[in-house]
Amino acid sequence: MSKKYGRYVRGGAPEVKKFDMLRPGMTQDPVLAQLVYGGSTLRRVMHNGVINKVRMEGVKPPYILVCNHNAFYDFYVMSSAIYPARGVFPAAVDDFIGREEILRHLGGVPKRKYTSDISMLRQCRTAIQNGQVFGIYAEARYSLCGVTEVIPDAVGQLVKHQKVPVVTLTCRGHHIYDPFWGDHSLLRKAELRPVQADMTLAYTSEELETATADEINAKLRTLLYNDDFRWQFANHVRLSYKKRAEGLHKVLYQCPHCGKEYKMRSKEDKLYCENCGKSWTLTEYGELKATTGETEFRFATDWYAWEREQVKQEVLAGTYRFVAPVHVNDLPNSKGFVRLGKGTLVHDMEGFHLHGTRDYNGLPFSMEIKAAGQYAVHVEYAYRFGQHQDCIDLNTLEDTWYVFPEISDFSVTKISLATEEIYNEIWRRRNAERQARKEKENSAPKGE
Amino acid sequence: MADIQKDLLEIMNDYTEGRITSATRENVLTADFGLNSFDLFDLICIIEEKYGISIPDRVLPTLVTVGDLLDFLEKEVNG
Repeated sequence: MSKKYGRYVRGGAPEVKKFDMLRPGMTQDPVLAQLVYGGSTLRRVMHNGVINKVRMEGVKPPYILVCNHNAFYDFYVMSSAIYPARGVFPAAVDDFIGREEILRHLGGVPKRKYTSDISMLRQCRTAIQNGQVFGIYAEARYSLCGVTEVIPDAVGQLVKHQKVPVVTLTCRGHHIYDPFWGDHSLLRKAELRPVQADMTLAYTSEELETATADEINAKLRTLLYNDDFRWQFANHVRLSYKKRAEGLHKVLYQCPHCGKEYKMRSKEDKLYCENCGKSWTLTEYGELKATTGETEFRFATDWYAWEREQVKQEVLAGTYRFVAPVHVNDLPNSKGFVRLGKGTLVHDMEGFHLHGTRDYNGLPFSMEIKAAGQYAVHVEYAYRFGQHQDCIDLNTLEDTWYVFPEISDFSVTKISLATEEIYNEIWRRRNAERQARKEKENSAPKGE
Repeated sequence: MADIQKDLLEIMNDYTEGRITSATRENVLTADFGLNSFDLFDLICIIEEKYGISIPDRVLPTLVTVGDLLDFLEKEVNG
């Protein structure tokens, strides 16, 4: 680590040795697996963690486990839920920093987020052939606001192709317990109970044969759907932690009262807008209440959905564009990041365009990611490696670059929402054009 | 090379049920044709079977465009 760049980030020459993305997933070390199971079950019980099993009688590996994802705590519940089976799990490359071998021995396989990594699908086939559980965190990131994020169509195709049972594990309460935007304080974690997990046999091998990939995707999205704030309120789960709203402004970046962006702030249990002064309280049972006047959104997840709609309108109007000076950290392997240099990031209807100059040798660097090929993007709030700043994680099949905007008025949440809405709009238009072409061809008199 | 290009276009056209009717070397398989990671996995399996070859894992990340695929097949098939 260098003082200049922060935790696990060094300057100087680029690394030559990169992550070995092809090393096969390892069967969990049996001794380690016992320790993991013991520790995981202890952590689960500490929070009155209940696992509701549905249709799980007699289900044995190999099977595919599809999970939702809210916090690191998910791994404890998952390890506890699948025991005594052990599994292979794709995990983000930055999870391996400083602990690559132990994570590999626990069944972890490095993955660069939101890349079409075909070799990962071969890892899945190998794990299934070895009689293991292959686990997929289908959203490929932690939920930003406690509601299930986008699940790609490839998941339905993949599970159908493997011809083994499909199990879903939907964890509830984990976002409240350790929100992605929060301070990750032990005080908060210690308080929250209960948490809940629903483990469901979604498809037997036989049922898979008669289901289409689209039907499978629809069912998986239903089974994996979760809204943690509504769950908290419905189950009367109390969280009295004083700073429970701190950080929530990173997700809820636009004020619904005055419409201003990037002026939302949070302090203790309060959320407030610096532009118009309106404020809200996050109650002990997960509701939002305006201090004065109308409460526009009772739950944070509704506010988040409203923000998505605002971004969608910008995309449809063709006015969305983000430009910022940035600095970039490269993640070549599990030893940590290497400061790449400074540059400019543009995000628009075409995609991400990143250009800059390498600190080390003054040579240019660039990364272009086509919007039509990236259905979502991974972002981080106060990222733990470096200097605790918000960033966007851009990947190709060869590189992982963490991009840190160097301006004050921006939101990585908006960039994440825009990435999804731009992708949707591009394919909506292309499909419409193709459909129109097909109809024209069909309506043309024969012989023309 | 022309035969391989014709074959490849035919494979992609069949796989996408007529969606891909033309392709250039610069076309990005995901972004330009909307193929997701599983579609690529499937296509690779079909290509391996058709040409009786095995595409090593380390090559997979390099197959980003139609041109990448053509160059690899040209080397593998025509040696």
